[in-house]
Amino acid sequence: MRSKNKFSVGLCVNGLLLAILAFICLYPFLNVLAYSVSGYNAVLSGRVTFYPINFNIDAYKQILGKTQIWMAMRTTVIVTLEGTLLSLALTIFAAYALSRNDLPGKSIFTGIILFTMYFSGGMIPTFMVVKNVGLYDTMAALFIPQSINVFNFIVMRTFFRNLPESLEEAARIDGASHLKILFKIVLPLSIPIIATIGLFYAVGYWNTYFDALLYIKSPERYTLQLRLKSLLFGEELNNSNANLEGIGTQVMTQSLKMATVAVSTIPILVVYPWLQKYFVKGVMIGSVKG
Amino acid sequence: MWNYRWMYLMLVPIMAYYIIFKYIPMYGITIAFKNYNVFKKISESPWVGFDVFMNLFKSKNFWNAVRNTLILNFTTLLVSFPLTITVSLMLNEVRSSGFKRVTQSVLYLPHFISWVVVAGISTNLFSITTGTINTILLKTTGHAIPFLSSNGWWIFTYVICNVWKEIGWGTIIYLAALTGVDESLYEAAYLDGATKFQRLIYITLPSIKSVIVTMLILQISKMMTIGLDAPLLLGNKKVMAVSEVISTYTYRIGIERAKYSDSTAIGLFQSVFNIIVLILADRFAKAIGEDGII
Amino acid sequence: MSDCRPAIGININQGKEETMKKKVLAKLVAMVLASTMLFGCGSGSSQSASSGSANNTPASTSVPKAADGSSKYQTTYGSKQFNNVKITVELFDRSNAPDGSTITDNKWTKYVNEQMNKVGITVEFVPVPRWDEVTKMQAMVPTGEAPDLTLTYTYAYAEDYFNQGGTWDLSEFVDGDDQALNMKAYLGTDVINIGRNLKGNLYGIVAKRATTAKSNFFIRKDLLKKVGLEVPTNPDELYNALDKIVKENPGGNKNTVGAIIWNGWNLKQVFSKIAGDPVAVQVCGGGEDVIQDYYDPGMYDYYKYMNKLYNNGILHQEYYSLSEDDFKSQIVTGNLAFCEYSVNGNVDVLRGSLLKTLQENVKDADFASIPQFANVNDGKVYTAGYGAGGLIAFCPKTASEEVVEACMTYLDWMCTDEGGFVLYHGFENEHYKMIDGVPTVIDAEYNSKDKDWIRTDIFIVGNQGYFATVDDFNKCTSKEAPGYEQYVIDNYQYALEGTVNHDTAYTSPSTADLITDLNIAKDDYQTKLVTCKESEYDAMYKEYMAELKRIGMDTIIAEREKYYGK
Repeated sequence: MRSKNKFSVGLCVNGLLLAILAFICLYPFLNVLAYSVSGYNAVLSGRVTFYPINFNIDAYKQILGKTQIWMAMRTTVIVTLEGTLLSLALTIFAAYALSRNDLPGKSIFTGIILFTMYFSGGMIPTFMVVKNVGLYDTMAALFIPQSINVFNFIVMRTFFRNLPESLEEAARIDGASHLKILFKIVLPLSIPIIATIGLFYAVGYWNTYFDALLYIKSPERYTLQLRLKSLLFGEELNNSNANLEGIGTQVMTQSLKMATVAVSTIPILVVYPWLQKYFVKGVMIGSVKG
Repeated sequence: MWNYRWMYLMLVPIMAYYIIFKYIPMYGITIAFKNYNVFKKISESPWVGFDVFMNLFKSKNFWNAVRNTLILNFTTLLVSFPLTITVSLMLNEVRSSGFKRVTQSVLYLPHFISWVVVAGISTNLFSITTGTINTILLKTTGHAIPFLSSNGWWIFTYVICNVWKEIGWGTIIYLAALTGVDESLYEAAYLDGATKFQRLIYITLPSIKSVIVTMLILQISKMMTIGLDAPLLLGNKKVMAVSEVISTYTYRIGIERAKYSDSTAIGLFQSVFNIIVLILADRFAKAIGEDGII
Repeated sequence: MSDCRPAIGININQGKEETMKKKVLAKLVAMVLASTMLFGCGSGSSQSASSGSANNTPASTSVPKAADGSSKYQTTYGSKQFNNVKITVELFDRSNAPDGSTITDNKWTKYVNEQMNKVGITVEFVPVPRWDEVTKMQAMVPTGEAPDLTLTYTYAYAEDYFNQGGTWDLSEFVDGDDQALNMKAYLGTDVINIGRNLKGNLYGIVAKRATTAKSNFFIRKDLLKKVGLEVPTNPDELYNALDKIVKENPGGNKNTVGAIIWNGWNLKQVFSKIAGDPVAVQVCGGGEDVIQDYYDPGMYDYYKYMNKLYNNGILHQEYYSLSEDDFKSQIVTGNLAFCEYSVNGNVDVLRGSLLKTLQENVKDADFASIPQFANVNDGKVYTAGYGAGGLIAFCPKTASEEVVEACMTYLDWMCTDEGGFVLYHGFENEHYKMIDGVPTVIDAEYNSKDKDWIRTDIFIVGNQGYFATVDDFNKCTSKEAPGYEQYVIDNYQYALEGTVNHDTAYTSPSTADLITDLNIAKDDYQTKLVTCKESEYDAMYKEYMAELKRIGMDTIIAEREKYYGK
């Protein structure tokens, strides 16, 4: 039981410091939002801080008015959902299997996985493999070749290792197979870490840019990040190239950029608070007796 | 072995994945040892042995880049690692779940802001002429600090920006670990008369020790790797002596032509260094009684 | 904690994070790409003075002929009926297709196919994200996925691919007397030769620039009036004017900035000691300014002048940390008195309509271009100009010879009025009216939704559009900045005054190996030269030259001198 004095000085200071930190972290985001809805002159003059000047939503209209953006968002959502599910499944299997110290050959398997965190064949050889297995220009190319992230695997394995042995032993004595143990005992107790790793994967897939650039040919399958970036380039003229593009509408460049940041991050931002309910304390209470 | 049949079954798709997507393309590493012709198969491009590496190692700029990479990474780790844990612990202590949820969500916002935006904001904040911070400093102390134009101060700015950007996101893992700490331990300690601080040191921290060690090993083993965005966008020509790192060096090489051999060689150099560090860190961890990664 | 992307391989773009991270990266890539861009000797246009390229135009390779004496490959539009040949052509996608159409299925792709079907060719467009076109090309070409007609702005890649044996030598398709007649008429031999290597092989078709104008000086004329001075005509007058403006602050700004030299191309011509020597100018290149720093003794004076501006508080004190947006905001808030920037930068809609925005903030502000200064050494006027070429198009060997023939025919068609002119300017009375022989926009809004969104990407034989002469370009462009027509005309006039020293296209063999280190030294020392104390300048300059020499600049100079016949 914690101290019953809810308003101890320590807690207050703690809260204050966190609030300051939170404001520091919030400010740039407010800045981005403010820019995205401010008027052309204010934006170009660099006068916007964290509140909008000459409020208008032209930048958003321009982005959200395009069917391509919605299509791209659809692609990204599908890739994120399917990818996260696949990645979680594979990572859980790998992490669980390799967290059992007594598994024969464990070091070899672990070594095979770890080695790839440092060494890889590079862009073109990987491209050839993706092409040869028939994934070129498919949505699957955006999540199958990237399904397992070694960092996530290691973290999850650490968590699985930390689960008390006694639970598992009790189950084994009762005759449960490893598979049952995984599903009936380990997973329910590991919801926080599964939520966490799921979040990491989801964010990774949501931000898919480079893989889409490489592996996708049809514009219908561009991901959101790819679309948003190609939207901006028209304004980004390199000086000496002077390839003066066709005149588009006079879009407020900076606010368009900021609006794309907002559009691409807000959807994924709302995921975490929703996940927070899984970070419930006291999950372990009562599981170990004596 | 039969006991473990489910485990092996679980590992089948995983091994298949690694073999197909990671090990089959692995021959691409040999590009570092060849004069790569993009139209010929890698196997047909002429072998040049260690020439590419020798060339690289002769370059003063390459070693400067290596040095700067290590300095920046080390300094950032030194500051951000303990801070991230501290903030996680602070968050963990928060009573009001509403405040906790809001704060957590806000703290990890910077992770989603791209470096382009961060660089823009940092110019507004740190510029010696019009920067907000310097304006305040000038009024109060009469002196401005060259955050962006002096080598030493630039490292400070770089570290601050990195810490600010990633600290919130970094707390997620520790918070997940902290939810797994057994409440009954706290009860027992309270009954024994332990202060809050003592509970922190003797119960909370040890309970998440393995996560801390794992994270530390993982981050140390990336010492030779550095992202491109932060040094490129935060850096400028005045502070090149400290801002030119391996990633920017590779980027410069790749601008003119696609010098695949050079960039592959650099990558290989980084990987070998990192994996050696990993092995050493892992051994050390095991020596002090932790689980290690390997 | 994003995924641990392996450090090896072509991971120049490490980390998969948000959209925006590459924006400034884009600028930087672009700026660097641009500064390393190899542009051709623009001796085609009347303004050029560099004629030294004559001895570098190799003889045409022999073109295979059919029995009746005509060339084996018929590439003039209309001269051959193809047998339903399909070609894939790269098309940059800017995500701006209006609703109801897509980048590959719209009014203009239909028009293209309508016209090409008449000769039995079908065109399939392959969209490529404009921003990362180089990375995409690097992935497509080696893996055999590149379109039959691939585009890029970096000639070095096209030439490399050719040297590695992966792309077609187009001379067989273009050089014959009866081949590609429209292409030759529109582009001209000089532009076509930019795509040729020393042996005469044609590794790509280069697009023609509508104008080679590069840079302007812009000054706040209203501030000059307020301090009672005339428009400066030489560096000393400029210094005095800016000094007075900064000290007296007639604009009443909190943070007056005397000058930001965003690009010093024309200012360098003012101090150059070799600007009058056409061969020396070619050796200097224009693509890599580090070569000029070393080869042109006048650069000592240029950097010394910059050093003086910096140390006397005229040059922005942290100019090296400014992004282009920061620079623009200095202009529109009224802080900045003088700059050198891209041609037409003050009124160009695509650069943000800076003058218009400035005038919203400062009522009587006038930010206009001024004539180029005379060279301080010989008193003549020299300006910097781009090379005559823009985009380059090449054909990977994955395309069959019939497909290549069709591709060349496609480009040939694009050089005709039904081709390029329509694609760029549209249909008469729908998009424009002819006034003074110049297509004048009727309704800009309509044009931008209907045609402009795709026109520069689908029209690939010319940068900036289909114009017969530079004059046409100037007139047309002025109409695109309503209210500021005279500014546009002045801008382009001043940008091409006197002798125009164009960028060159040649990269010497040793450059690829040395240029990375040379550019690092350049970035480092250029900043040091400008920001060091005045007393340290000479020593710093000596150090810079010594460092360039140590890295091996002399090798490059020797190769370039040999090439240009010095």
